[in-house]
Amino acid sequence: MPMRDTLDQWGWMSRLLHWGMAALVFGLLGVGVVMTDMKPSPDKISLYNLHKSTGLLLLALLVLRLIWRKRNSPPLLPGTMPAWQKTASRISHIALYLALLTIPISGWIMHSASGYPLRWYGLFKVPALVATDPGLKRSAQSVHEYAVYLLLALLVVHIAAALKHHFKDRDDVLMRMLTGRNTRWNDRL
Amino acid sequence: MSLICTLVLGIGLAGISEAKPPRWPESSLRFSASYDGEPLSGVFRKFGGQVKFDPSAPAQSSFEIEIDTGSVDTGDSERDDYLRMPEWFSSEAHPKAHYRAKACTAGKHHSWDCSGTLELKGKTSAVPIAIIWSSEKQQLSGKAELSRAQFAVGEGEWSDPETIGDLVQVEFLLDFGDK
Repeated sequence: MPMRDTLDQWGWMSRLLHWGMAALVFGLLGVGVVMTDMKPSPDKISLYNLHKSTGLLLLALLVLRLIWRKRNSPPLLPGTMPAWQKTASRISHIALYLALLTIPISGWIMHSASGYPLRWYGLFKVPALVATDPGLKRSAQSVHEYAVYLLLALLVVHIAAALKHHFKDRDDVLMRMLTGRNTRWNDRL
Repeated sequence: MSLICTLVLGIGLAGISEAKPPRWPESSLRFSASYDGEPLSGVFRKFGGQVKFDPSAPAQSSFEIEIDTGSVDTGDSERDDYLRMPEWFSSEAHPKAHYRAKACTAGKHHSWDCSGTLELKGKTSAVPIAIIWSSEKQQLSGKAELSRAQFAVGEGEWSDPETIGDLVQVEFLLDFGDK
């Protein structure tokens, strides 16, 4: 099973990053909803610290993924796809990356502007990006929230498109991200 | 000796011989607690009172400071609102904290140690302070360390010092200049 991507397959590095980050994104969404509804308590602080630490982990993984993507050409889209779908796919993936970049950075700014210290998973101190600033905290909070709504919308499109590729178009777009093999493509060859 | 100093230097060692209130805006009262192992600091915006401190008669010193617990400001209104709740300062039931000291003695490095008591959230406990007097600026700066548990600041599950440490550092600057 190759680490690098090829013209028709995702290597294991890309798939690990994709599914690992997907799991973290859904975990963060769940924790984010629960923690903001909690009454102040030490558990709430622990949950916030977990959310913030994991958000920073996701940011680091995203940077790694963008570098990886830059150095590896992703597999080609099926030749059966109309041009408009290829364009839509391109735009929605750029938007996904932008949302995944905006959310942790605005979260980090919101956290810094509210003056809370943070130890990354309790291990070391995370530097504050900005000084304590109530106005900036509110702005960053809005950006964080709206970027999450945008991400949710993009995820609906992303998942719907993956299912459409698998069940309607019957191509290998979903399977090659799941298994790394492109059975249907090979069948056709 | 102090008389000679006073004569030679003019203002010399002059302290605050008559009790008087600290001036704004130079005076400040800050605190720093530990949050998940890292410092988190804030100030009390409103406090006042009367201070008498004369290096030539330290035993006759007196501190009568009143602190508005609701004026706590850590830079985040959400957190400050919560600090005013019953679990923390309980500012509605206990709007004022009082610090009272009666006598100081010479300490190390030109500092003075004053024994006093803090009344906070209905609890009174001894809190010594260490101060430095600048006769040139007519300013008193000082610090203290206290246990928040002794004053029931952070009750219930907050009394566990794991997340918010028990010891709180306090620093103050009291300005008595005539400018």
